[in-house]
Amino acid sequence: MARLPHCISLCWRTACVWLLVIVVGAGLAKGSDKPKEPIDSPQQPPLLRLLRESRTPHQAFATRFLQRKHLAILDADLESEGMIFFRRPGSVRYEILSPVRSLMTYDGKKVRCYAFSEGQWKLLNNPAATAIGQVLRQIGHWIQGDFEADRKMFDLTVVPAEDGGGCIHLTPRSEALAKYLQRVEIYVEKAPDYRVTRVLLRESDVDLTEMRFRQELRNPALPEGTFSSPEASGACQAIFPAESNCDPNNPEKPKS
Amino acid sequence: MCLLVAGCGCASQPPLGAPIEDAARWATLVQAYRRPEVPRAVFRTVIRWGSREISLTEVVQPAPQGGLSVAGVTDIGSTLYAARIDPEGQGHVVTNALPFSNRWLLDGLVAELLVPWNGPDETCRLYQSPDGTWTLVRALGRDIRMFLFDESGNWHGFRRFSGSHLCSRASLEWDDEPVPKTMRVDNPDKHYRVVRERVDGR
Repeated sequence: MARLPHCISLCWRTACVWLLVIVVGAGLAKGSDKPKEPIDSPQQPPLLRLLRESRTPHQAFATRFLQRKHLAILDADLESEGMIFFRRPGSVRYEILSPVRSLMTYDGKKVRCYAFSEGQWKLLNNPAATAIGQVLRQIGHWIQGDFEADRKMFDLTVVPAEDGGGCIHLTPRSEALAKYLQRVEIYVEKAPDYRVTRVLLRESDVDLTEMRFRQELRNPALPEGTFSSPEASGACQAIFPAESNCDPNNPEKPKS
Repeated sequence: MCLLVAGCGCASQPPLGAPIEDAARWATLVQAYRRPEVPRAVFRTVIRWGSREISLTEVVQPAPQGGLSVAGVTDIGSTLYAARIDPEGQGHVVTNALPFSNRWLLDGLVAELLVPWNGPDETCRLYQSPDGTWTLVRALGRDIRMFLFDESGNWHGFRRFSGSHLCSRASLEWDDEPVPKTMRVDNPDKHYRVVRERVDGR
C-alpha cells in the first residue's frame, strides 16, 4: 500500500507551509503577476533602495540567528539557534545548531538536507529538496535586500522608523496564500548600515515564527564545503568572533 | 481470553495463551510504570518511508487545562501539526498541514509519539511469552495494545493491533530519565518508520 508515501511526499511540500508557499505560490497569485514599480524606482520607499544599495558591494553574508516559534497551543516558545551563509547568486547554507542539529545546503546545483541523528550526520533523501532549496534562496534574497521576487505574490509596504530603518511588510495578494501566511515582516536597521535584523512570519493572529539575525559578517572567508558539506560546520561556526565583539566586520574597532 | 495476536504484520505468531494469574508480578509491572511528568519533551524525529526521509522536531507538553499539547515543526520552523489531547485521552487537532485526515494524524504519528505517556494501566492483563518475558495487554474490542517487558521487568516494547492485524510497533530505549532516550516505530500498516531521539525532557 503506497498511500502514505504519497501522502508524506505531499505533506512535506505542504509542511513547509509559510515559507514554501512564498516560492511555490506564484501560481496562486492570480492576476498578480504585474509587479509594481521596480525597487529602484523613485516612487518606491527609499528604505528599499537604501537597503539594496548597502548590500550590493557584498558578495557573501554569514549570520547567526535565533529562531523562535510561537504556537498558541504551547505555553512556551520553541527556540532554536543556527547560522545562515549566503553567496551570490544563490548558494545557501542553513544550519540549525541547537536544540536539534540539521542542515540544508544549496551549492547552486543541488539541494542537500541533513539531519544529525543517532550520533551522525545523515543525508536525507528528502522529496521536497527542490522546494526547500527555493525557500533557502528566498531567505538569502531577504538578507541581501532583494525583494523583487516577492512582488509577484505580495503587496509590499514599508513602515519607516524614526531611526532611519523600518519594517517591510509582505502581505499575500491571493487568498490562497493568505490562508497559510498572513504577513511577513522584515525589520531593517540603519546603523551601522542598512541590514535585515529580524524576520517575522505570521501564520495566524497568534502563531508566528521569528528569526533574529546577529553577528552578520559581510564578505567573510568561506570555509571549504560551506555550501555542500556538514563537515564544514565547525569551520563555519569558527568564523564568528566571540559574542562580546561589537562589530564582527571590524573586530579592532568597536562600532560607534 | 486467549490472545492470538501477531508480532509481525499479517502472519500469526505463537499465541500468548491465557492470561497469567500472578498478582504480584502484575502489580510490579503495572506499578513500575510512571507517566512522564516533565514540563516539556522535545524530540528530534526522522521519518522514513521507502528511500525517502524527512526530519522534524516534535514537542509534547502538559496543557494548562489538563491533558497534553503536541506539535510537530519542520526544520525551517513551519507548523506541521498541532493537537491537544484532553485529560480523557481524546485528541483534537488544532493545526494539520498534512494532506491526510485528522484521524490518521491522531491514530498514527501522535499516538506513536505519546506511547510513553500511555503506558500500561490496571486494566491490563498479564501474559507470559514463550521466551519467558512478560507482556501486559490492554484490549478494548479489536483494539489491542501490548506492553512488552524484558527479563528485568523493564518496559521496552509496544505493539498495537486491530484484531490480529499489527498496526504499529515501537521499541523504547531508556536511560533513567522520565522520557525514553530513543523511540523507534515501525508502522507496517502505513509502511513507514520513525526514529525519535529525546532532545529535552529530563
